[in-house]
Amino acid sequence: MTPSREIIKRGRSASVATAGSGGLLPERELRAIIDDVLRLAEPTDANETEVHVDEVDDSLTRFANNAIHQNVAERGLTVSIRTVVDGRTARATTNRIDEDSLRAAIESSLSLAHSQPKDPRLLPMPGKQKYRLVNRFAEPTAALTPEDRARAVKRACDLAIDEGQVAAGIFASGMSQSAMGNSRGLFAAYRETHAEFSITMQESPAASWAKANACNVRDFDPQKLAATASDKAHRALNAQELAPGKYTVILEPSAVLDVVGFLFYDFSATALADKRSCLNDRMGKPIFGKNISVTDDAYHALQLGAPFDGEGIPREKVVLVQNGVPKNLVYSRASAKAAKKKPTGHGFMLPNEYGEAPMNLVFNGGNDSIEKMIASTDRGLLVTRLWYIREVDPYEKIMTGMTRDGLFLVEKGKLTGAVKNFRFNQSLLDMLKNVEMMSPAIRGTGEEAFEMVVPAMKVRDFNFSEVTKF
Amino acid sequence: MELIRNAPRIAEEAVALHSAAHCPQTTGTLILGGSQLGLQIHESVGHPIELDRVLGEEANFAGTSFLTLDKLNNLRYGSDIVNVVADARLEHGPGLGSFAYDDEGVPAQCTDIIKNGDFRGYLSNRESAHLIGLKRSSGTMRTESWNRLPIIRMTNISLLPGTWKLDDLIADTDDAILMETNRSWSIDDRRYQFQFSTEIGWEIKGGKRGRMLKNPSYSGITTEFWNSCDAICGHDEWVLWGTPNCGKGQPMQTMGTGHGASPSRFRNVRIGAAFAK
Repeated sequence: MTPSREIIKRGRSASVATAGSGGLLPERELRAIIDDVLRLAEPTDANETEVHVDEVDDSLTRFANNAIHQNVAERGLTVSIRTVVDGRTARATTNRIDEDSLRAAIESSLSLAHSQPKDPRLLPMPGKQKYRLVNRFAEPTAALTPEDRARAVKRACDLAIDEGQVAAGIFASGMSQSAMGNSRGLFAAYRETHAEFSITMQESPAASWAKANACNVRDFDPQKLAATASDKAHRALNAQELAPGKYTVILEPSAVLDVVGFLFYDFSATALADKRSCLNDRMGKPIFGKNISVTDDAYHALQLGAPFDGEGIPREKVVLVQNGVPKNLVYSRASAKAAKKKPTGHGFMLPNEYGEAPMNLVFNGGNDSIEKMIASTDRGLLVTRLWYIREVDPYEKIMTGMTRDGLFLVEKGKLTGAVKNFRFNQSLLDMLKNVEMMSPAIRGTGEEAFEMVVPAMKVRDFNFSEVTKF
Repeated sequence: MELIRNAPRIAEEAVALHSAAHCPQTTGTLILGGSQLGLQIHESVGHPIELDRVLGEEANFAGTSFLTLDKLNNLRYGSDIVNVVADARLEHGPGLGSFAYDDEGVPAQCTDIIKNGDFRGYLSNRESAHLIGLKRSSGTMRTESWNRLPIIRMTNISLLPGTWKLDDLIADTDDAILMETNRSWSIDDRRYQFQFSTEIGWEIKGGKRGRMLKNPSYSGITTEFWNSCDAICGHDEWVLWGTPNCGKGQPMQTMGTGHGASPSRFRNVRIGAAFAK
């Protein structure tokens, strides 16, 4: 077999760590890599072959103590090859794209496949699909330089110094693309840009935090985020200790996102079939408040992500919860076949244990501002964010975690002071029954769950079990 | 690990848990199995002693630490019998934090962290060691891979063995709950307040292991907890456990860390708060 001219031109290695900026390969080069792998696999004993090519070009500026202490950039490309032999399948991945390396990865994949048991749920690979176009590549993000990030960080640090505070955080930006193809003629490709600014302002012993994440770096203002964190850090001083108990809470969008994110893996059809979902015996029943409706929508204007899943099936918009009732699950091809349903385009790359999950969540939200929620509250707590969230009970969906970076007392419709952080032990099912008000949904971001379109929520009877020292 | 030998016992316990009584809510004596204690060490000793956290470099992500520099040699971290070391040397054992040199080329070392209950040391690197009066790094810079910057990481953070045997410790305990095998874990961003739940527990009554309990949990404040330790089992029951998935840094890095521990007893611990209504 002769190496293709494209491969020879591309050289031997596709992964480098760099200090500078760069661009993504044209889509035709990714397609050429896929075609080369499929060609190289043709004379082997693989019955079917699938290829994923993923390329990243990411940069991150990290700062602490009012100075940048880390600036890193990374460009890399991986080729992941799945082969099927006689009902057995396995995957091997390489970051080298010369012909010998691709052939070696094919051989590794085949060798692994031969050593696997037959998978009775394995389906023939899908053929050519049609995808909705999404445009998630923003030139201002792609053009962002280390100097641009450093200037924004300096402005944030200058604000901290002016206020007698200490700033820490990141400003990250980058672009990525994924292409996949298989021996049945499927080809899909997607590229995006992404930018993120996160800042913690510390005014000892208090601290607060703000963060944003978007496709287009112009969709957020680092200086405004820094000002918000700075103001809240100052207001978080002199925190008083309150007794644990049930409180009305106003959860900012990041706080909502980080805790409810743990709920949505349970909308996987495989999770229900495995009886590890809190929705077992609860589908179609009113388990949340009537004001809760959630959709998985990869095409929402505030969402990022590819319009196809790990097997190349187009993502569909799925209504997960309608007026408090869980209505639909998401399906991979295998779980759809087992349930006699249509796949929804939510499967992970094969082979995997988990099946599928909704990854583009959109809450319906409401019309109330956080200010209105505060004004309507006789006694409660405003929660900036939640932290170190873990599952205590998988069926009642009891989650534990801490408040962090700004917990404020609301009395008679006004913020009256800071409060020491609490530990919560709270059932998500109960929490989403007790939502009294919601803001319009925004693109929220946190640290414990993936980004989603989510509102702030006013929730009654939120269970705080213990208090910490700060 | 003796997976095959242990499999029948684990299967029987899994079945029995379905009909086991729920762990009560109380404040009392807790005996922790070694593997759960390993994670307790990880979260409530290992992370707060990372000097980069103390100095604010993780403030935006993993958090900071209650162990501000003024507390070095000036804090009763635990009771007299609590001795914790950070030991990356191969002679400590084949742990997930064992190596010959760290990723700055500093040789593996053993550093006292808690000595007879007193807080004695941090995990440091070449850049920060002088800030705590050291002449060289304690050798804890580790990176996930070639394409990530080394950061201060736990090595093997181990509670040194005591003198008890578990059977004797149980016989010596009138009323307690024994908890084993972690199920969930959470601690605040300065590493004071924690809550853990485990897969299984047993009542200890009158010096004997009694009925099985499901959904055990306990919680507390780090220094109060370690100061309540009054018995640690010996070498025969000491195992160098590991945490394979410790996340830290931005971009996030995952690292394996080692934690030697043997079953130990703690007094006046809050039990069962995770399920309190």
